[in-house]
Amino acid sequence: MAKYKYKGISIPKWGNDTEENEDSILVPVEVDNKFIRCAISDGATESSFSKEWSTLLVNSFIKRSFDKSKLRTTIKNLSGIWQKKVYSKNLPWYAHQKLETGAFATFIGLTINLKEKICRCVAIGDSTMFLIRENKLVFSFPITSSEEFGNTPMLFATNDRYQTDFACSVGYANVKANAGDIIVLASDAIAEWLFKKLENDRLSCFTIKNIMENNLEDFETWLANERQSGNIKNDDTTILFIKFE
Amino acid sequence: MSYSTEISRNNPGCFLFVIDQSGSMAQEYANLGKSKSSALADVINRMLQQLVIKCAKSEGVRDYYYVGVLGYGANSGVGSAFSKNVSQQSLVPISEIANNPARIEERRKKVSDDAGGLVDIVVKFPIWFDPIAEAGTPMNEAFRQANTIISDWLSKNPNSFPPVVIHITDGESTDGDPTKEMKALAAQAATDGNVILFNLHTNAESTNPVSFPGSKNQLPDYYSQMLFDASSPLPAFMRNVASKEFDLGLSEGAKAFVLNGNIDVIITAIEIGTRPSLQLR
Repeated sequence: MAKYKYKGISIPKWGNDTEENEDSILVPVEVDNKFIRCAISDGATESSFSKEWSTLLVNSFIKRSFDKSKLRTTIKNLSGIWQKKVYSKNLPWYAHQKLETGAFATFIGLTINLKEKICRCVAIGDSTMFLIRENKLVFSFPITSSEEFGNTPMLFATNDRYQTDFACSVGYANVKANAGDIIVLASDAIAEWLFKKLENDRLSCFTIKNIMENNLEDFETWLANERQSGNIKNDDTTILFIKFE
Repeated sequence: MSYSTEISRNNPGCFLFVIDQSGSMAQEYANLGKSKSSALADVINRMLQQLVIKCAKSEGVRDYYYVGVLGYGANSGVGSAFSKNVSQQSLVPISEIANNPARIEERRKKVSDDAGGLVDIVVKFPIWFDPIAEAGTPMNEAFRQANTIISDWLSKNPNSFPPVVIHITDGESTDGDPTKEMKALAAQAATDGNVILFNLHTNAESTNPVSFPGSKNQLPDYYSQMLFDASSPLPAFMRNVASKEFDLGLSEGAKAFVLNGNIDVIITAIEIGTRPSLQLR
C-alpha cells in the first residue's frame, strides 16, 4: 500500500474573518483500507450560505457517490439537507429572497487507490488538480492552463432551476501517480498562481517543500506577500498537497 | 489601470441617484399606463432590492455600498428622497437601507409553470422611495448639492471605486443652467478615476430616442447637447457589460447619456451603471 504525507490549508481572503471563508476542504480519509478520498470546494461569494454548501459537498464525498449515474440524486439530496439547515422563519426579507436563488460552489474530489496509485477525479468549476513530478506538471484537471480562469465557472447549485447540465459541466478523469509524485488540489486563486509558475518553469523544488513543511503562520505570511504583490488574487485560498513516498 | 479598485467593506463604493420629481413626471408613459414618476420609483426600488440581495450574506448585509437618492422638485426643493424610515444622511450604508424599507408590498408576477403556461405568484417588493411629481425643476441646485455630497465622500474615501452618479430627468432646468455644476461633478475624481455621471433623459412618447452616443451630431437641440457634453464617457468595463449582457456594441467614446429613453432604456442604463467592475470582496 502506498504511503503518503499530506498538508491541507485554507485561508480566508484578506479583510475577511476566518468564519467568512467560503472554501471547504476534506483532507484524505481512508475508505475500506484501499482508498483515500479528499476534496475541496469553493463557495461562490455572491451567494449566501455558500460555506454551508461547500462543507456539505466535501464531507459527503466520503460516503456518497459522485458517479455520473448517481450524481443528480446526490446533489438533490444534499440540496435538501442544505435547505433544512439554512431556512428559518425569522430570516429577514432579503435573506429569504437570496435563499430562493440558493448557493453555488465549485468542487473537485479525488478517490485514490493506494495500491495502484490510480487517482479518479470528479470536478465542476475551476478548482484544479495537479500531478507534479520533479517540479514539472504531468497532468492537470479540469483546467489546463492559466488562461482558462475567469469569473464565471460552472458550479454545483442548491436550486435545481440554476443547475447547469451535468453532461456539459462535470468532468471525470483518471491518472496514475508514481512514488515521489505530488498531487495538489487548489482553489482558483492559488491554482492560477501554480499554473503560471509551472508554465514559466519557475516552480523551484523549495517552494512546494517549504509550503508543505513550514507552519501555518509562515504560509499566511507568504500568502499575504503574494497577494500584496498582486501575484495571487485576494480570494479565499485553499490548497491540499499529497506526496506519495 | 483605471476603474479597477476592489470594492470591499473596508473600501466601499457609492451610488448617487439624482431624480427629477417635477410636475411633468406625472405624465404617463405611452403603452405602459403608468406615470413616469411611478415607473421610475419602481425601477429605483427594484434596483435597491437587487443591490441589497447582492450584498446579503449569511450573517447579514455587508456594507459594500453607500447609496443616496436625491430628489428635486420645486415644492419640496432638493433633498433625500428616501422614506422617513431610512436616515436622512446623503449617502446611506446598504445594510441600513436593507433593514428599513418603508413597507413591503405584495405584488403579483407571472412566471412559467415549466409546462408551457404561466402562473401568478406573489412576490414581496420592498419600498423605500415613493413617486412624487410636483411643479418645478431645480436641477442646478440638485447638482450643487450632489457636488457637495460627492466631494464629502471623496474626502473621506479618496481610494474608493469612483462614485457613480445617475441623473434621471424628463425636462429642462427651471433654476438656471446646470452645466457648470454637472461638469464640476464629472471632474471630481478618486485615485482610481473620475466620477461617472450618467444623464438619462426620459420621454413619455419616446420619440427619436438616442442611447449612449459617441458624438452630439444627431442631437436635436442645445439642451440635449448640453446634457451630452456634461455626461461622462463610459469606461471600458461598462462598455463590456453593455456588450455582454445587453448586446450593445458601444464605441470607445460612447457617453453615459440617453435622450428620450423609454423606461426599458432607463433600466438598461441603470443596470450598466450599477454593475461592479470586479467581484465584490
